[in-house]
Amino acid sequence: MEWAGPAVIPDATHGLTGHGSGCLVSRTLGIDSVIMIVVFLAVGWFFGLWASSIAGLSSAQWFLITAAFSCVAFIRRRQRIESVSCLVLCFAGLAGARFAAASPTFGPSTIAFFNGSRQTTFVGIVDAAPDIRDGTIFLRLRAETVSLDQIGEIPVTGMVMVQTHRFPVIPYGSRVELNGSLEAPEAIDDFDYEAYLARQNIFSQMKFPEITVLATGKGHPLRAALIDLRARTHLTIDRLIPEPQAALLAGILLGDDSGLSSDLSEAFQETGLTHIIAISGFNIAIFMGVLLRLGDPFLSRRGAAYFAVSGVALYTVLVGAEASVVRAAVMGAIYVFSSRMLGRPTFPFASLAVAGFIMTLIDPMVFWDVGFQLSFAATLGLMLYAEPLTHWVQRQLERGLDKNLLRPVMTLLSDAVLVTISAQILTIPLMIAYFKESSLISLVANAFVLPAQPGVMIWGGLTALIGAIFAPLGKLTGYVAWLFLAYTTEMVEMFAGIQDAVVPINSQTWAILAAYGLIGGLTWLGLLHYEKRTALWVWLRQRLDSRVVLSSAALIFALVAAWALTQPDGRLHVLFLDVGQGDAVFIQTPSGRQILVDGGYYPSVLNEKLGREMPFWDRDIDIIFATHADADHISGLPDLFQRYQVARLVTNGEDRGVSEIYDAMITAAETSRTIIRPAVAGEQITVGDGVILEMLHPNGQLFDDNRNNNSICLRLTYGEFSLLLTGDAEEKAEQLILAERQPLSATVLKAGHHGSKSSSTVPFLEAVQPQIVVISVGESNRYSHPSPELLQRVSAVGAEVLRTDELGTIEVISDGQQIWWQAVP
Amino acid sequence: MSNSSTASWRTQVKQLTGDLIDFIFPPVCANCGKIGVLLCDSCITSLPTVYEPVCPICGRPLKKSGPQCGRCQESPLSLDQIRAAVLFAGSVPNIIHQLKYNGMFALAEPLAEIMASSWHRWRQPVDIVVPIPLHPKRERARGYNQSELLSRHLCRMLDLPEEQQALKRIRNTHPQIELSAEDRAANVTGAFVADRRRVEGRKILLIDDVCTTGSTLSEAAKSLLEAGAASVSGYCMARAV
Repeated sequence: MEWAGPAVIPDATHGLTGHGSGCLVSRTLGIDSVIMIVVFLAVGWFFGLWASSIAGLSSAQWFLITAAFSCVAFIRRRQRIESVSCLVLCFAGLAGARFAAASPTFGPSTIAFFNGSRQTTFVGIVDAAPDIRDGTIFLRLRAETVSLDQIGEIPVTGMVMVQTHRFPVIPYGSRVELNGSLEAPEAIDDFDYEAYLARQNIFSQMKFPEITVLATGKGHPLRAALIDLRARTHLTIDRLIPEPQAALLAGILLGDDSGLSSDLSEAFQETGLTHIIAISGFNIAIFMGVLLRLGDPFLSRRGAAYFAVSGVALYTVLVGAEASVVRAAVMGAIYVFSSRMLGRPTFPFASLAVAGFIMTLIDPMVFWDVGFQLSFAATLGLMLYAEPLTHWVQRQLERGLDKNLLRPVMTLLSDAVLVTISAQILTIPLMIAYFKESSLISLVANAFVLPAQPGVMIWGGLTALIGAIFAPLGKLTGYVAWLFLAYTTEMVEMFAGIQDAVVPINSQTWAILAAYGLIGGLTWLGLLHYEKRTALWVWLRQRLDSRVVLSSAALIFALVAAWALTQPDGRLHVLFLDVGQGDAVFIQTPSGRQILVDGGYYPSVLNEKLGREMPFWDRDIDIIFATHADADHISGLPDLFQRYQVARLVTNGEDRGVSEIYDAMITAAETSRTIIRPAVAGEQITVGDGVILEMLHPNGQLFDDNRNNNSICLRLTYGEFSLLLTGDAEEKAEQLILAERQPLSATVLKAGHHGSKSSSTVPFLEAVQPQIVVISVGESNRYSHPSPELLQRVSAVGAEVLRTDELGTIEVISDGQQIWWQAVP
Repeated sequence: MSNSSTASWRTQVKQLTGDLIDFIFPPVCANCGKIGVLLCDSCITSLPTVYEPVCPICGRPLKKSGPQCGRCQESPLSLDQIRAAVLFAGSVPNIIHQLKYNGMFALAEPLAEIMASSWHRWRQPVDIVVPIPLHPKRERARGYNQSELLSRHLCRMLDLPEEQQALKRIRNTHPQIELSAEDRAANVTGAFVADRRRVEGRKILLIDDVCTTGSTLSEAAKSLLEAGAASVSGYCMARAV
């Protein structure tokens, strides 16, 4: 029984199967390296996808790279490690080419070519079930023709996401004519909407256009029937089960969680249970298990497998065949195929690698899909840890537990707890990276909620099925389904109600990578055979002095401690930096995101002050506001773009040329690929934790010849705390804001224009009603700021005055209810 | 000519699909978990082979060679002789458990290969090879009959004539594994019925996965002999000691 090596790469495998020392991994893990090649190639492929997204080479260039590496692989085919590495790099090259080929190009025959034109008229067909939200509907349109003034209608391809009013509902398959402004999608705060749509091959959007329905029923009849069936099932659920349980069941069964209230959605997020409301691997696994169990008494093992796989396939189509569901279904089918059809144990990592490879081959964009990454990591975690963990726990329990008790305890543990732990080991760092928080009670919440899910799916499914045929009976099963659903919602709400259960973590990419490195290293150690582990330990001890070990342990401890101490404390910090005569306000949100409003005159002063306040490991600033082009506000800023990765720069809309320092700042921002946006009055930026920045002024264009009056004015709110920053805005700008931007009330006001009497006019102060007025001003400055007249006005409204020339840097801290302030030494 | 070329083309395609499946679902040793083959070389070499002397009838290993063992004298079996490839010891119980109860039916092929490689030592008379059948109900639940799979692979390897239909199980008996030696014989009594047309005058070799007391084989042999078989002997994968 010689295992025949894969036919694809005979040269390298020949080298690898030879005797003597295999490659490093096979030697240490005792794994046949031929098999590992599949895993290596997949890793190469994923690496190539990532590299291609950064490098921006063309497909042809990637093919050239591939060819070069395959030549090297051929020449060095006798050297195992070299040839395999080259083959892996070949695959990386192929992946690069695949990604480059998938990157969209926008010629005049694509609808995205017309992005940015103010009034576009085009005809398209509604290509998916309308996504109905509370106030609006999102329609996915396949564009057919565009009307141009001179030329008339020309055929185009491409998809458009259209947001429109809740009523009338425009069903799937309608041919509609739309007239509105076609735009390229943009990121919405944290959420990269552009990338989200790009993954669905949508590169244009249109908001609230004029819509004329030209015809209906132009979609694929089968698709239309499925969409209809899904809608009917949804209706059956809504009829038989009360809210919010019906919305939850619709999410679990049909993958449509749009009916779930935002409070409940948030509760699911906080308890780390979102994976049960979207159709994920977990739901598919339950469904597959139910089908197998249903089939087993009547069918053969194989027959039941076919039954389950086709059942899941049908289900996938029914719920709309979204990428995440397809992925879960493919994984499930692979599992059933290998366990039931092949009749042998298999090396699961290779299957996972191949599955990942095929999915990203078909659609490379999937690689960046958070859902894909999470489910890949979860599956890998299950494969790596579930079995050893179960064995370990069983061994521990065997010592203290009665044999009869052991079985039920293990069943309960392995389903609810151990499986969750295994899946979470590899997903937690990813979750932290994406959602910037980690739920401490997720594990406990999962342990309580997961055991009820098979009940939810079985009884919910029965209700939907029976309810469609005979409603009174459906009502009965609906009661049982409701029991499981209500248990779920109650549990989720209870766990979400626990204070401080969600820890905000603002992690860096390197920290996430380091976490994976650590997990990988420990896993590798765990997989090593006992003797090899001992040998490694001896080897280490021979080379490492105890002093080296101790000192590096101390070093690591000190670093971790410093890192932990500089973690955000869950409060909002506003620092009025003492930068002499000038303005620089540094804001750190409860979860540690940073915003800087102006940077003072002296780069060295700003760098130093900022360096003290930023955590030492954090090199990102989220937003910089440059209120206006005066040197005492922005001279410090250009330098910053080299030192920190600045995500976004908001200007007051001034064009280049207004001042040299302004030009320098724009150039620096452009060089470091910072997004530059003008402030638009009325726009709100949510920066997480409930911190909202509302821009009050100016409105995308210059307002006055007096530069000061073009200052960006901002109102920050966090719970009951609010902060008003007005740059150097003077009376004229204040009047406009008073007229158009109520409410203006603010706990803390930074007096406009360093306390000059031309700002903070009486009506303005009366509208703001500040408790604290901060004046950012240099000691004995030549403008004699702040003016005594202003100080009088401030005390007339009963506010406390804090001055940076007297106190130095002033820090205001709030938890959303109370505020504190202190002078920072 | 063209026929043989199509056949070779077919085997090539089959080989290629097999390779592809192995590539995507690499086999793992069912016993030790080593990756690459379904039963790795070191696990195969460590299987406890049956060595002579054995009881010339029931095949049980004996301390010294003799005419027949005590048990065969006490309650004679209805077949001429039983032989096995390996002892039901060491890793064998685990492997057979995987084959029978964990759905690892692919194990039948390497196991049949082990049976084939020890075949030459026993030289039993064969006209047709008949696997011990499962009751249709149980076979459907399991999806396969491990004895039938073993026999199919063995017949292919040794080029022996196979007769799957010669024997039927008409009673769904309790699994022998749950019963004591005394109960086993009673449990399988009248469980089989043989097809006279297929067995009359033939020398029959029965195939089973495990032989413990020999009751199952003996009962099946009884039915075959009643249906006119010339002689019946048994060959098992594993022999309990």
